[in-house]
Amino acid sequence: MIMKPHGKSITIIMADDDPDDRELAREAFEECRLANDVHFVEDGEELIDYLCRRGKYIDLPEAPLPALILLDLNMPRKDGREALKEIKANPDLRRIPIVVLTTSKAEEDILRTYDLGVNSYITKPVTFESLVDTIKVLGKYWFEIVELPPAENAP
Amino acid sequence: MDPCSPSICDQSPTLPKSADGTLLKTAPEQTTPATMLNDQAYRVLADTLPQPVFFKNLESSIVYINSAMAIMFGRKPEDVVGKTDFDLFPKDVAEKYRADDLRVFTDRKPERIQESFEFKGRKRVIEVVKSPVLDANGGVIGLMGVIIDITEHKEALDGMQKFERELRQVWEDSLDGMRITDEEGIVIRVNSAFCRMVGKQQEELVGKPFTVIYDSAHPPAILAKHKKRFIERNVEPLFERELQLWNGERVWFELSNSFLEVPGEATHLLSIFRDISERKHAEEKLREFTSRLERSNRELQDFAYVASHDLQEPLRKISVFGDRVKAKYGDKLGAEGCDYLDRMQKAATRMQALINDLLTFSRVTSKSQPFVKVDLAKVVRDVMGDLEARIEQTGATIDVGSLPTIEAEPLHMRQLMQNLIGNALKFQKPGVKPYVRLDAFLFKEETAEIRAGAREMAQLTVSDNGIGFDEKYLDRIFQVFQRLHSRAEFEGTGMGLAITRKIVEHHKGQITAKSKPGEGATFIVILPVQHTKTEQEL
Repeated sequence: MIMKPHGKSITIIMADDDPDDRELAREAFEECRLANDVHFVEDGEELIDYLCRRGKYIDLPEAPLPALILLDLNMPRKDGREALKEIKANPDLRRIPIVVLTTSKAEEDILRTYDLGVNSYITKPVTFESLVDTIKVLGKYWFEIVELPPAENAP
Repeated sequence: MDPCSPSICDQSPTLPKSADGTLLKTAPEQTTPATMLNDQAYRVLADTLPQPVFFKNLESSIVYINSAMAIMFGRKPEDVVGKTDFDLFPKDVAEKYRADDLRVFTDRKPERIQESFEFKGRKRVIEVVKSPVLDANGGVIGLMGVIIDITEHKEALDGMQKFERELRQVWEDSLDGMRITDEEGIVIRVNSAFCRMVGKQQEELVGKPFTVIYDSAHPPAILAKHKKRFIERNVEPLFERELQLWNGERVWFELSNSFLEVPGEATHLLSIFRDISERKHAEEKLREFTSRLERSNRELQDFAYVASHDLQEPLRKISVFGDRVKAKYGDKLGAEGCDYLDRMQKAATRMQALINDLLTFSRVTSKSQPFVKVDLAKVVRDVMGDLEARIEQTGATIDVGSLPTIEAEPLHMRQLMQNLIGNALKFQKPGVKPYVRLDAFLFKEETAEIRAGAREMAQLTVSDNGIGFDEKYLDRIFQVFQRLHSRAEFEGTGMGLAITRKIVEHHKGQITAKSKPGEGATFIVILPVQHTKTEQEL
């Protein structure tokens, strides 16, 4: 059972433009019993809107913000790299750990995202089983092993 | 003893003595020109002159010839004296001589007449100087002839004239512009090519400062530089420069300067101009083309990577969702349903393999690295390490002979060996343990290019005891996507040998194979041991 330090709220937000990948991720989260803790957004713009309680998320309570961000890199409108940069530049948001989850294996992408301050870079697993394993590990690592910063309020 | 004492002088053998031993001396009154140059003296002079001399009377009858003349004629004086030319020469020749003689008699002036004469079987050119002989009263009594052999002189002169004509033609016909200037920069001489190159006539250039060919911006600096050359006696032997001419045209020239030095005369400067505008233009175009090609190559490479990446995505989804269906609804599908699903997934996997191989194929040339020394023996050892599992599984034996070190791209050599050895293991006879033998030897190949000379090549052979193939398919097996067996018999995309051949061709080599069905196969790869820099750039 995963500890939920912030009560019954969303702890993980995942940004991915590919509906298939979102579907697979949702199933994988279900296998890990984390399905209720995840919210999906489709691109970098929606992600920022969600975190800043703007646009269609304007009515969300200011607190608390997600404890973990899973970020795809290649997305339309605003891609993962831009979103990463913005979040890390925002004093109210930059403490939230970000894990990039992408199909890209390009060395340039890896270097650039670590430069921008990403916490971890993971290449999307190829099979469903390994996706489930990865998410299990992520959950255990970020919510059981690691000390997270205290709950944030929306900026 | 005093060396000048009379006793020593007396004993000298070279001075003339009289019978009683006293030195002979000339009496003072005997040493005037009038007395010394007496008849006897003149006779001796005439007779001993190395030049042939003859005297004729007014009838053109020969009165006297000297020894030299006798030798030239090949006759004794007594046989010739008293005879005329008509007795000694053919009629037409004698008539000419007589006409010459008459002219001298009447004009009373010496004449120099050039003739050819055969002496001892060789043709000589002679100059006959005929002068009138006058008596005490000034009347003509005959003529004197002196013959000068001018053969060598004439030959030299002719040679010089011929050479001068040739040089003049070389100067005029030269495609390179040529100009001679003096210390002050005044043009002494130009050839037609130069006039053409600068767009001016000869008259506009000769005698003027050479700076007239430039536009007004140049003159003072150029003239000073020119004069400096003379002062320092220093010129750049060969250099390239873009010049702006008087008519605004900009031309690229290859220039060569050298001093023309003649002892005792002013030094001049010879400047040779070669119009290299075309070459410069071609070089520029080549640079442009090369950079466009590089850009295009990079774009292609990026495209290939992105395309393959984006093409792999849907295939991955097919595989993964196929697994989800099997996992969640496998029992509801039944055996046939699962079988259909399997076939779909296998098809997707095949496509992934194909895309990867296509990417590899395109990258052989688009992502090439510089050639370095590659130890092929080490490459084979590494490949055998990679294939360890398969070798063990099939119980294969791989014998490696002595392999050379050649200049190549390391990654490509790895792929090449991996493919050839991998194939040798793959196409094994069922139930027979694979045996693979690698050999190599070096040889020299005569090339048509003189520059390259004999080229050292390495021939590599990979032989196996597998199923072999019919040589009539030799061309097919190296083609893209071509296979000789069905998917059920052997896995593969049909790209392996196509990639291998592309690698071999990239290294300017050749690949072929020998085989008989059921009798194994031998693949033969020939590669140059070394590469020139230009080859690598292509």
